[in-house]
Amino acid sequence: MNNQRINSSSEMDGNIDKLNPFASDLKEFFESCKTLPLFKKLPLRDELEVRKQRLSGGRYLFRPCGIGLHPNESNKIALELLELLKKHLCDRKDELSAIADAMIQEKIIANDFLLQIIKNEGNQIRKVIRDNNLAEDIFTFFAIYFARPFRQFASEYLLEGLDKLNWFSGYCPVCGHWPGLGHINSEGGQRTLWCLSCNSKWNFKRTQCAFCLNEDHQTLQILNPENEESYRIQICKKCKRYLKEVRSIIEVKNFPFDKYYLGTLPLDVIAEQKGYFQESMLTVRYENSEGNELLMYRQKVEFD
Amino acid sequence: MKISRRGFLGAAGASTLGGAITLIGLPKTAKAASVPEIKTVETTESTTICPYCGVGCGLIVSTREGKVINIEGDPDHPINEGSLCSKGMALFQVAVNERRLQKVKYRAPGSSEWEEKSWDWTLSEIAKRVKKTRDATFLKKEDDKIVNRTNGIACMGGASLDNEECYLLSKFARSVGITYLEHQARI
Repeated sequence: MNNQRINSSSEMDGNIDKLNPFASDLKEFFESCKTLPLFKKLPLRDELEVRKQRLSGGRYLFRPCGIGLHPNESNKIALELLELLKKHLCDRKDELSAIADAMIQEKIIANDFLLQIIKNEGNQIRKVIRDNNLAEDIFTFFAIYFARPFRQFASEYLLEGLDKLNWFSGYCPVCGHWPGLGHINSEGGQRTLWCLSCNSKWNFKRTQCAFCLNEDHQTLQILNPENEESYRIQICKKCKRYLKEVRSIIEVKNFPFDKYYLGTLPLDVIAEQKGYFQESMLTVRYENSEGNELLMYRQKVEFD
Repeated sequence: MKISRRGFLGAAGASTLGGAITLIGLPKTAKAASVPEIKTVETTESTTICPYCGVGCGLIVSTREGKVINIEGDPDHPINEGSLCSKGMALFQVAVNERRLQKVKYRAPGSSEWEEKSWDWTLSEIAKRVKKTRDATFLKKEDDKIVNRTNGIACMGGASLDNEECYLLSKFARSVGITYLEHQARI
């Protein structure tokens, strides 16, 4: 690095640190979830060799069909998460209470709702929002974090034994969602992508678009906010999508992705102002890893 | 979310969690429209190969408005996986260096002064002197064997020459008959 030295006390850094109490509580919440029996019936896990083959063929690993969940645990996790959000979002307490009430009154069945999220049934989730007259933004936020402990468990379970991922796609190797944030190691320069939905991480080429795999440097650019050299946005002029990236000295395994994902909101605004967009995190682009849509996408990016 | 231009990056932090919820949950257009445009700089990252030696390490060169702002090892390159040798690491200074001479400086034989010269004068002067030395020292035969060489000129390649420049330099040297041909390509 010559000119791009890490600015350790930038404005954005300081403000991301304001999320520390929330990030700490969230971490503790996820840790406590790990002690619970989340699945009654575990996700389908192929033999190691089959999983390796699936990955080398671009098929992500998590297939939600056939999983079983513990209703009591789902309900407990949902209510605990709502309490946590209430603590940190004082001005949205009423909206969060409305969600909690709908769950207590069983207008929303936690288990069914959770399955809808895990199966990426976006339309069903939007129906729940409409039927119960809930705030869309906060409900979506809640939905993603409600499913996280389950998806994260699935990620760890399915990646067991796979030391080095043979994975060269931009979407998550476990759940198929697009990456939420990119981490660039400030020592080695390696880029790691992170999945907001299941907390999986995978290495991905620095000079390639994670969405359309474009490698043309004329159409793949970096946007840097002024005086914020550690924060950047990779924009693709071909597919018009963007990815937030943080250049950090903190190793991937210790990097607080959630905190940085949430704290780098200004980068999203900048990208959108420039005409770039990000797809909804609630659903995946391809409903499952077996479908023809995913195959067609892979064929398209390979021949483009 | 209403944020003024001044201190936008800071203001966003004060309500970061609330803002992030909007970010995840809602269509972006309305939110983006509520914030004034933020000044950004556009950087291009291009991959290339280190010019120095035959190993062929991968590099990422960052440029802004056509000017090099950073050169680093390409972490995705199979040969060097992001690492560079000391010369490779200093490549940035080849492209951007205030101490780099940009005009020809000439010191005449016996003089202690440097004079600024034009490229036209310099190139023709070099050609003239090479020709003169070569003609004066050219050896066609030695022990009845054709050698076609000059012992009066030596050629030394510099460490910052790239592969293509080295190729041209060695072609030139051999065509002139230079046998004392060396290169400082060592780390």
